[in-house]
Amino acid sequence: MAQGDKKKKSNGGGGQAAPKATAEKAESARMSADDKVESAKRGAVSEQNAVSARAARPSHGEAHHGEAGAHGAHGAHGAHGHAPNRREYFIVFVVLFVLTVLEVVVAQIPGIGKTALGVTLVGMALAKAAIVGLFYMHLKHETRILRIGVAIPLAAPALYAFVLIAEAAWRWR
Amino acid sequence: MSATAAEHADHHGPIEWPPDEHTGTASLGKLGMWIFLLSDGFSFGGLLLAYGILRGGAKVWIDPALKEPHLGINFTALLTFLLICSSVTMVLAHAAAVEGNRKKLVTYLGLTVLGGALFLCGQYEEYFGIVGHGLIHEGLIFGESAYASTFYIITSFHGLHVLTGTIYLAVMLIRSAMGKYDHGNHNHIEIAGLFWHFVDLVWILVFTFIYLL
Repeated sequence: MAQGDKKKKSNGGGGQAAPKATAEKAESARMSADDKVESAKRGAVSEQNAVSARAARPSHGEAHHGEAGAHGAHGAHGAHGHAPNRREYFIVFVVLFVLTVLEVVVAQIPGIGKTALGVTLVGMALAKAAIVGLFYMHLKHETRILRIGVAIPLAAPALYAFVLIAEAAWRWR
Repeated sequence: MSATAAEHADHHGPIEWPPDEHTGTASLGKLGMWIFLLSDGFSFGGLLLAYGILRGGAKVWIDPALKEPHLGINFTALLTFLLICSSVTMVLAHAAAVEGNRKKLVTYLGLTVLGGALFLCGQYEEYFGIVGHGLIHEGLIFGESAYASTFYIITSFHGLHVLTGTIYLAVMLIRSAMGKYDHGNHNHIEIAGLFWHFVDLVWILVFTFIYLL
């Protein structure tokens, strides 16, 4: 039953619906309503079948990977609505490699100022961490709330760390 | 009966997770992993914070009187490159899982496990020495200075994550070879990948704060 409720909710309004899927959504909602009427007519015993039928229907422009669609769904990657982009993965790898080389070079520049070194190295490290998170950990494809939900809890202690370390460094100078 | 059902689910993939208003199509397993990674990030954050405050407040970080060795940047840069490569093989393994290509999935997962194992060998070489002397033999002793203690605590805590990740991925490799993630059933591979990329991400920061700065 709980699963059925979730399916109904998802047909009502998903957070990631693409504009082109609007027509499909309307159709899906209409058919969902039909299913409800049908379910009521058939009674509780046959409701499970109606839920399965809804589950098997593509929604939000995505292919379904379950019982009905799994075997023919290669190439249409339903779980995220995006195909793995190998070119993008490779570009990210090159960027990470170049930044790593730059970090090693910058760290060994003779006579470089402490502040310039710190700002450059921390900046490059944060950039590397961000692109790993966005592209390899697929945060780029997650909802905005999930992205913010990850970023804020990590950013807040970083700010705290900055203040405390700066204070410790200032005290002894 | 239940064993048959579980086997069936493994072969044909779970029913698509219904899109949620806030978290999209992210599965409960993926959200759980993200919550774990945040808590793990706080653990690393605490260790790095202690390191930063100790170092920021120290008049001399590496005391010449103790004759402690400096950390080797070039060798560790190679380890960093190794972890980045293993992150690439991990995303390629996930891509193969999405496409239901078992052969590629097993190959790329195998390469990722190899990358993790090589990293651990590199860390062993750095600490104890296989071909070189090793930091311990060069006089960097845990407990003798804040420099030595924070170095060993932070890098070994990360090394523990690499060990855990390598074992985790080795199990996923065996399960993949058994056909558990065929037919585009990639959710568990993606969750394992999240952990592995996090280990890489943390190393990027450790490399900068401990070795380069």
